[in-house]
Amino acid sequence: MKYKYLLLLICAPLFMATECRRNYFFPDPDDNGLSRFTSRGYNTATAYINDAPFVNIASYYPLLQKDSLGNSIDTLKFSWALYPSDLLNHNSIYHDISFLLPVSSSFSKNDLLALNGQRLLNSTTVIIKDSALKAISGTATLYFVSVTENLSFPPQKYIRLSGLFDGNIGDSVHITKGRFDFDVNENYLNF
Amino acid sequence: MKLKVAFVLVLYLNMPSNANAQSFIAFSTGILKDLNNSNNTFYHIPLSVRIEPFKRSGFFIEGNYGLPFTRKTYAEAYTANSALPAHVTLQEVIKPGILTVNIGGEIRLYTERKSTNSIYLDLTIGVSSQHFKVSYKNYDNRNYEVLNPDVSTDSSGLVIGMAVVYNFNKPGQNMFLMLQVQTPPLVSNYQIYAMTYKLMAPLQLTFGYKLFNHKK
Repeated sequence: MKYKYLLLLICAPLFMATECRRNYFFPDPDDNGLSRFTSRGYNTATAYINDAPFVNIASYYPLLQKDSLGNSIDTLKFSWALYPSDLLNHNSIYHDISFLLPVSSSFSKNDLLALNGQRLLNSTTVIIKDSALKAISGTATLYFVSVTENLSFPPQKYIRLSGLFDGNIGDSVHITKGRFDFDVNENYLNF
Repeated sequence: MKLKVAFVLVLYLNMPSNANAQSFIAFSTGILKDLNNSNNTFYHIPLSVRIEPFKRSGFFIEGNYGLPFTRKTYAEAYTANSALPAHVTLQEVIKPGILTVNIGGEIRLYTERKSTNSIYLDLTIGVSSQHFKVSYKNYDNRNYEVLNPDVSTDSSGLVIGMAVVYNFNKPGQNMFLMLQVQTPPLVSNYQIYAMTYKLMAPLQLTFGYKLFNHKK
């Protein structure tokens, strides 16, 4: 239990570091428990994990950072907290979801914007934490439907990322119908 | 101040004396255009019933229903499924519905001496119910997601309106031509989620017939 709180304490500033403006959840009438697929900076991400709906919650913002491995290939980590839409459903608790994209060490904001419209088919590593907070990893498809610079709130500059994802972790965990819509403050990017 | 008193006095003197001498029921139809969706507007065929229950009162009750024309636009849908094309364009169909019940009063503005044809200004207040049914043609919603989708909504609220009515008062010709404009309903549950349509502000041009109650 202490370990769990310690992890939350460590992770919270990281999630806060990408500071976003607001969080709105608009239910999708076709997919029970999921948000609509939007590109308006609503800071909402939802997905089914083994057919149970999961959603990020307000005040837990996405983390978008480049992790350097000390060689020519770095990793772009894109992650956010996930909680069951139905909080009473304790049987299917997964915590955070992370996507790891291999990028060059010179990866910049312009390279991020160049992901606009790119569908990375079964080439992205996805990691989620299970009920014992153990990280389990698999393969995902990540589709950056829209990656644009949002300059409508000067002097702040945001990168607006909107897209879809699905993936499998072994034969037991299936992530389906995932969608995200984030505004990420450029000041907090480390690339 | 004098001007205000004079205006109120004119209204007071005009309303009862200029109203129709008999109670009546009127039916009208024509064309309705929505003014609040300027880029992609909605059209209806309005069916209107107006009842003026009291002689010379100028007071009336009115019901308006719109037979809708569907609006067709396009929407983009995407999928992460590697076995399918990443992106498809869908046809979006919006079927708008409108039903309004008003009460109002009429003020005579002008009467021709020879023909006794007349022009009235009507002021109304009422409740309007607006429904928008949204569907996407050939939408595979198991695999694709529409980006920024429109959704079906129902809204009701207070409306105010104004109409100019030209009455043909020749015997046996109890017809009228009416140009009516109305505000969108005032709704309390304001939706922050933006859609490609807004609540309608109808402008309607109708032609109708009055059936007078000749009982004394």
